[in-house]
Amino acid sequence: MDVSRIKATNWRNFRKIDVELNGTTYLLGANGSGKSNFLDIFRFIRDIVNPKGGGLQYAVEERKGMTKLRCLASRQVPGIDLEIELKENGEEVPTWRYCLSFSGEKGGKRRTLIRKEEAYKNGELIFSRPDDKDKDDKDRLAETYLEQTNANKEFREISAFFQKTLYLHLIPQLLKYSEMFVSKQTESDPFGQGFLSQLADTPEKTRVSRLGRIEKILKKALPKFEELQFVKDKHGNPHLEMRHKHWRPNAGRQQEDQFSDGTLRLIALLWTLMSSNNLILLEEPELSLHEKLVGEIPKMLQKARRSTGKAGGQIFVSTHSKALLSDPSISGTFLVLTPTESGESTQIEQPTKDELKAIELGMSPADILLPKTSPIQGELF
Amino acid sequence: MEEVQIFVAYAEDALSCEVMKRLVAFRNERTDSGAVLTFRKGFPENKRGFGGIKKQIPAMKNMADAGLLVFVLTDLDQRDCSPELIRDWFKLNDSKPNLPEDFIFRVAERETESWLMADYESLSKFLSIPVANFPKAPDAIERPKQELLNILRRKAKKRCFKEMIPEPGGHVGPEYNNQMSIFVRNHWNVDRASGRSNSLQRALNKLIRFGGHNGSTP
Repeated sequence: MDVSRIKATNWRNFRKIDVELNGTTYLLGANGSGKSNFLDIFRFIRDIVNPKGGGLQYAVEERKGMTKLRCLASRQVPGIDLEIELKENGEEVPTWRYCLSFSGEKGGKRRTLIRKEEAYKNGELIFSRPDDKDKDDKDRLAETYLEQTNANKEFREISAFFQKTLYLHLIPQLLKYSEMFVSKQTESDPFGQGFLSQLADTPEKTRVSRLGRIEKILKKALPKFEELQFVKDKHGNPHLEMRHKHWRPNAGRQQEDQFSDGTLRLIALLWTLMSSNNLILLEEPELSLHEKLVGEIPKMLQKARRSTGKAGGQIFVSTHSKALLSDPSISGTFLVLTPTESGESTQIEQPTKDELKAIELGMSPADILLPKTSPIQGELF
Repeated sequence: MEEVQIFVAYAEDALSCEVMKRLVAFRNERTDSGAVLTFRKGFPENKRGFGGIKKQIPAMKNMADAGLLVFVLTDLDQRDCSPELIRDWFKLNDSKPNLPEDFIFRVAERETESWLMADYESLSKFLSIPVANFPKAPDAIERPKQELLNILRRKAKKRCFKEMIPEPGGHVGPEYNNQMSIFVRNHWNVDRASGRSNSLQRALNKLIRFGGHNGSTP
């Protein structure tokens, strides 16, 4: 099952979003154009459905409240609307459609309250809120049906889908110098140390097989590299260990705090692609990698998608990279984020017919679409 | 007025991109009938050298054949003549190679800088360097950018112009593209320059003819 369409109003820096998606989705935009904000729609829903203390109130508070979440450009409309369609491969009608509108409570506890919540299965309405019970008891509107196990029985597949969303934005310094950062470890977002815990939590057989596949790729990508292993130190803390060719037989061992940023990010990227057959959000996978490796990323994504088979494994990628977008094997949906005329918000455009034609005629998305996102005209200096 | 969009426009460097913009603006002022040429958002794009342009020629030709307007400006550099460059890049054998109508492919003889130095009066004034220092036959200069940098090395007084000079190992100084772009936008007299540079004159003619009469090129 894949996300086939996303609609939103007033979400962060977007006044309006309405995009249809197919295959791997690439988000192109200048720095600060809102690529991460777009991906945050999925993380937001994941926070709502998170069985360990998630929920609508939590998801909004995590993002510093409604005022931070709402689009600055629309002062008139108080709330945010989200609508997501999920489709089985090859089906015409979306299997699931979920709509959620919410806004801040005026006065009182200043909670976030639901204005509308609806779910559809195969085009047929399952429920629509607010209903009569909601009118009697306003407190009910502080919680979505989606997050409640005793209310979402008929559409639990939707929450299951988003629970398994993976977001990859590994920050090597957080992993290498974890003792220096008292950072909150987000369970499913491997920013840093969480990545090693993820490895540790994976059943050994699976872990060994995945690391073996990663090792094979690293042998091609890193000169002198020989071996990658998962080890635990005497305190039971998980580590990654690499061995390089060295003239002394027992030298050349390194632990993750000695890995280069690029190596760590590449390992995390490969691991993430192997570990989910659900929604994967990749934040600028090109960072710290050599251009030649970056050019291989579209192929990595395609292979990952194929290996998970019918189960899917939809991937969203935010990127600036020319090398990534020039690879001839690249395919999927391209979303171009550009500021609106007034500059207050961002619009998401899908390629025009002519742009798609040009790509079909042999140009790459890097040639045709990337220049549209250029933040500067001419040069900065 | 009808707009005709230049779908992609590529040049070898930032300065040539500025020149493309100025030429299209100049052309739009000059054509009182027919369509206005506009660039698609984000274009012209700086391809940083001719390699990327040359590689994309087959795809660009496909686009032009399919009716998407392509504009390329490149430097002749040390080649003999532009037909030779076109035969090589487009893999054609004809003595007078023909390109699709919608492919405006122009070659600056020998570099964009020759087109700018062709208006040596304005350039001399802009850089505050006496006009006697500038060569008078622009298309004949072997290495125009080097020539310009040499003039700057000898004569530049203001700091911003001195910073146009490269450090050892570099091709241009940090202010080079910036200052020359200011020149192109605000001081360069296209009319005067095209009177002296044949390759510029031909580029302008092609642009002015393009879409000038109901969108077709005579």
